[in-house]
Amino acid sequence: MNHWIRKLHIYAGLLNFSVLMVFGIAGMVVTFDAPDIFHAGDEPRVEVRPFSYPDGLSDKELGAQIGQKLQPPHAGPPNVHRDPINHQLIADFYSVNGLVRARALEQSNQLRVETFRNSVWRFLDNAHATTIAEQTSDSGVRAWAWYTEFSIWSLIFMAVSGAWLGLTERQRFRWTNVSLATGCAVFAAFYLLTK
Amino acid sequence: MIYKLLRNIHLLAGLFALPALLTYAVSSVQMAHRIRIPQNVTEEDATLAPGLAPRAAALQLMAQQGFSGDLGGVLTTPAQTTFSITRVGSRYQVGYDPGSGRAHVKRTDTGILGELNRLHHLHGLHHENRAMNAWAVMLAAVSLILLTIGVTGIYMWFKLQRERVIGAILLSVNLIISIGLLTFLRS
Repeated sequence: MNHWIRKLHIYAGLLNFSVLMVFGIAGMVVTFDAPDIFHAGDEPRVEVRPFSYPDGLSDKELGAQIGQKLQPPHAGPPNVHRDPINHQLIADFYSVNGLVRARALEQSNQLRVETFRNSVWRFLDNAHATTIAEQTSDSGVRAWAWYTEFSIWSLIFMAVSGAWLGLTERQRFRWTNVSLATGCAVFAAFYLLTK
Repeated sequence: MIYKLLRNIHLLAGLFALPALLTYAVSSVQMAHRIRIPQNVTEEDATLAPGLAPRAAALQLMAQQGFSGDLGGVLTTPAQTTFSITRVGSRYQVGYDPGSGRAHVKRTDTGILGELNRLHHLHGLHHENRAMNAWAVMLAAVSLILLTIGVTGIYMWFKLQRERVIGAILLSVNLIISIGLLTFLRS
């Protein structure tokens, strides 16, 4: 049986190699706090576009209409809120590439659109967090999310099958048990400390 | 010699990181499938010294009631100060009246699923709670291990002559799909 478990362990690793690298890089990115779009020091790209504001729409509906007009790539539904100072409506469209923020300038029938593009490191961090829970109709995002889903289950399979192979085939190698026991002890200690 | 060394590194690093890797994987499933996290809410009152700033009030509450965690969500109005103290699995939402010194604490506990979820999001070395910083160090170690077992795994596969063809096909499928999708998403 171990022959087939090993084969499947290898195949799962090869099929998910790059996504697991993305998971690993994402962990390093957040540990070392790679600057996000608001702290990177880059000015957003700003443009002002004409936009006619229909009467009788709620803020959420207006946000959806702005989304239809702008079509921000790979973004889901907007997060709609109002500027607490001047009460202008703001629609935030988040995507793996950062943020497109549309500010409604209703009196002049315009939209002020700011595009904050993130670094490649933050892009990879966002990619790792793109799961099938994502609310989007973008086919690229959906495809990536399903690949991530496959990789999550593959990671579970590889962790369990790898431990099985190690414990059954390398039992005589003293460090096998030491490593697992140390890992469990360190994990338990950190878990209890954070609680 | 190199093969043997890398095989040992692959095995030992993987076994060491096993509990943490499973924590991240299981919490990923919870988030991806929106599995509901049950919450247990309890409320209690406490008396603090009057006239305290939010930070001082939080510290006194921590010392007095044994709470621990990160202070956040500070909001001050003339009538009341609110803030939260958050740690893995628990959140204390506090309303403090500086005039009388009375504090009302709403405690929310989230159980094991909630704890795994919080652990997944716990990162960075900026926490006041040292245990949280220690966990962040572990996240870095696990991330590094994930990268290491990926690279050593590729090397070990390449050395297996009989798996080269099918392995090359699978790796190519992986690289073409993932790099293609990432390039498309970055566009």
